[in-house]
Amino acid sequence: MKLLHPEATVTMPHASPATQPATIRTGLVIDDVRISIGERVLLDAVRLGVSAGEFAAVLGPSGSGKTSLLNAICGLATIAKGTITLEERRVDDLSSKQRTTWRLSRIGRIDQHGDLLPELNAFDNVALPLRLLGADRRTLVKDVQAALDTLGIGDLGKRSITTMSGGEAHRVAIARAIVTRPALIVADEPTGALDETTSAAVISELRNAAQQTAAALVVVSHDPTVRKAADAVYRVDHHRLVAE
Amino acid sequence: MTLSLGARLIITQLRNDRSRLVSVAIAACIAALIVSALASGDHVRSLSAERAADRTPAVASTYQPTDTYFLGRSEVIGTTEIQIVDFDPVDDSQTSTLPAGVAKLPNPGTAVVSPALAEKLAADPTLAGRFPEVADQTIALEGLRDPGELIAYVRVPTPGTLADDDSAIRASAIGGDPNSYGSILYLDPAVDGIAASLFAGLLFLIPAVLILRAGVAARSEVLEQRILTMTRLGASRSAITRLLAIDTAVPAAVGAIAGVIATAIFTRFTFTLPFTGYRVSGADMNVGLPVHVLIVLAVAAAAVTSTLALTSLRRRHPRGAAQRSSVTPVKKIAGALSTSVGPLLMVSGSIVRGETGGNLFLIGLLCFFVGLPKLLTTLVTGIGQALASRRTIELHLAGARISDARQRTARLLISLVCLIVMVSIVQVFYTRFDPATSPIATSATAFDLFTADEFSTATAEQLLNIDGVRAVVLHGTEAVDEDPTTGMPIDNTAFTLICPTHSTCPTVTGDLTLSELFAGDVDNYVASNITPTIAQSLDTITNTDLSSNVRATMLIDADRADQAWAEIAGTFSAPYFITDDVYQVLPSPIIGWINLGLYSFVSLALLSIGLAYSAHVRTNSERNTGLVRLGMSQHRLQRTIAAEVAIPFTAATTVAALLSFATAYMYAYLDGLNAPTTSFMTGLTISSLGIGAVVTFASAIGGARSAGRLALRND
Repeated sequence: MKLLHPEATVTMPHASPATQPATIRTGLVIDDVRISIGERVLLDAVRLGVSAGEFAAVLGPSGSGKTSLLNAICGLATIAKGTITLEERRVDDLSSKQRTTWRLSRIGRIDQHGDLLPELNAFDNVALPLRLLGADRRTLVKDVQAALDTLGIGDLGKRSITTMSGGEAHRVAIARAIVTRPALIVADEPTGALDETTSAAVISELRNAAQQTAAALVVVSHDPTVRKAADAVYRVDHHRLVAE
Repeated sequence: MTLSLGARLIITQLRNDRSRLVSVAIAACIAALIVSALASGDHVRSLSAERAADRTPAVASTYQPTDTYFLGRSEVIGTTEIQIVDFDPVDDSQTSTLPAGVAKLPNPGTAVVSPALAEKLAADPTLAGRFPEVADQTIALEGLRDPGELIAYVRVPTPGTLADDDSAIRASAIGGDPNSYGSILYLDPAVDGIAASLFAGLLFLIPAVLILRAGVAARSEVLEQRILTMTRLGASRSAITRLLAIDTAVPAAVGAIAGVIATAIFTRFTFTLPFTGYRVSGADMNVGLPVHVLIVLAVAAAAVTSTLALTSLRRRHPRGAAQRSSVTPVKKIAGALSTSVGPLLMVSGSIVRGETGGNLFLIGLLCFFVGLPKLLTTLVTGIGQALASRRTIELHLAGARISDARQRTARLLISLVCLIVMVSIVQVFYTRFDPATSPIATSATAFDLFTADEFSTATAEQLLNIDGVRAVVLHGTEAVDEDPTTGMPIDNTAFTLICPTHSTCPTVTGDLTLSELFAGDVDNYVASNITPTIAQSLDTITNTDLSSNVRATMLIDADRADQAWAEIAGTFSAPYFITDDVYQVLPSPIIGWINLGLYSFVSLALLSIGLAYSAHVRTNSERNTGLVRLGMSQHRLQRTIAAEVAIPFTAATTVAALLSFATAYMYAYLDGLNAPTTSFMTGLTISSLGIGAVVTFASAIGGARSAGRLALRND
């Protein structure tokens, strides 16, 4: 993991030199990115590098641009300047259709409330990305069950999301995020509605899942639990991303 | 135990949640009041129709010494209009044709009056002076249109007087066609006016039912919390169901009883129906205790049915697609259809069998509309579950959401179905006035009669210029000829009424020659008095004309098909009818009320559709946003949204079309009206599908764009 801002201090044990972002060949590289809405600049000169299996936490107050950063990484928002690269492939110059496919196959996303569909059971929620990718039935069942087993909820596939506890629902959301074996997992306030104990468990499982699937992990949060568990912590400060 | 707990809960609510409890009672009261009033009105209508038929003289086809001459007239004394029927037995010693309701032959010059008129005569000396000699008997109920009718039968002082009067009718018996001579002898029975008033009231029944449901729904928040609490305490589903039933049934029953009692009090008085001038007595409006009990039960059942839907809240969220019920969607739909349509068909059968079905029809209609939400909810659920099992991701997601949001989706569709059904029923009703929507299939004869309402002189002159139109007869009461068979005088109105049913009429061939029918004089009359200067032949329009069923007739050489004549006549902006059926013009205020009710209903339905649609979009926006973030393309999302909107919409429209056909044709059959044409019903269905297509398109485009914007929402 690397913060590629010139002023950042990189202390991560697995970090590559800040001046050599290209050495992160299987992770996420953000170089000199500016994110703005109209004339208003949300983030500027953002440099960040996250290797496969690493865990970076981005902290900041509400409205500071954390979710916008995630949206830019996911290809949901265009950037005004700079480059975003995942697995050595530029994301920011993909077409809209390419970004959609890329997001579906290479990124796993978890939001505060999981964005799970209450009308689907756990199995169908986890299977959703594979269905969108057009996976055949046999592959779908195998991969979904594997993802559920990874999170220790292999026997809850038929359960309705709405009858699950908060922790169980988050495990389902994590399982959905890793079911396509993405290169990057991003999470937006994944523990916002959980107590400290459950938060710690969810973050631990999220980290384990990312490591097992060799995915880079970026979590946007202000939860102390996340701060403690992360390999590197960054803070949004005056439109800049600063390492703590 | 459940009963006592339910009672305690209600008493507690009276202290803590009084307003919501009272709202249910008030809603039930309004619904019961409307249903009860409609039932009473229908009772009056059927009684009026029966009596009008029973007292109409049957015209003598061959002269008998037992015949009696009748001549109707009316007198306006002050503000009171009195119908007077003079009668004159041919032979006093052999008379068997007494006026209906008159038990024995009064002396010459003596009047037999209705009880209501007797009361007025006793109270008003001026009025009494017009009837110097009143018999010691009054007209019995079977001879009266209603107990409040002001009518007198006067036996002419000098026997044989009416035999020389061309306007008099020679009758051989009582029990003729009320649409022919009944309208000449008596004031307008106004049966159709009452029916129109009832229909106008019926339009308000649906909002009343919606109010009832809204009243029940207003308590749902309180009940939902109670259900959850009781579920957590371990209460069984049946126990919760019983508690809910008691909780709602009690205030609903109280309200319904209050509504029925209010109607019962209202029906103790005699009053005049607005616009029709028809006097209604309480006795005729009293539908009896069993019907009142049925109404109370129906309203209470309606409220309870609405409440019991809340029991599904025990599971705070619906089943997932993988947790399907063992009951297949097809079975569910079939069950719901049978339970919803069953009451309506059952009551319809009752009416067809000739039972006093009008009241039951209204109750059945109430049950039908109350059952409709359940039907559509089940339909939506079935569709959702069926789609959710599909592998195609769009259908899979759409089905899961439809199944999950079945209540919301159903609410959206209920308005649509009600709208379609009501519009089709209104269309049937309007065929009474505008059969252009449903021309009667009659075989072309040598000449056709087009009878019509409200032809103006200008229109008549225009019609005369059409090739093939031989005459336009504006009706009057002046005798123009005598029927050679019956010896009856023929005036324009009588001519029009007789011709369609006269045995010789269809056999007339060739050029317009009516000699076979009316001793050759009618043709001459038409030629000399009407063609070509029709304006000079117009009689003064009298009150009798205004109350007659038909006001103008076109005599037409029938070289063209009926439809062609219909189209020609239609260009003159005058309502026209091909003969066989006689239609009546309703007072315009009634039409106004019907239109007001219809427009109100349509507005309510459209507003409801709008609100439900808005709620539907809001509910789905979060899901859609999540799908975009997950990686679903805009096109796929649009297809998903389109599927979840279009499929239930189409299903609902199909159900609505079927229901429209069923109710429209049934209503037309029961009321002897023309059914709407297939093209109209098809047009209505296609229009509804068009609305669905627009809604689907807007939902798909708008929903996907909205989701895309929300996906970019900043923290």
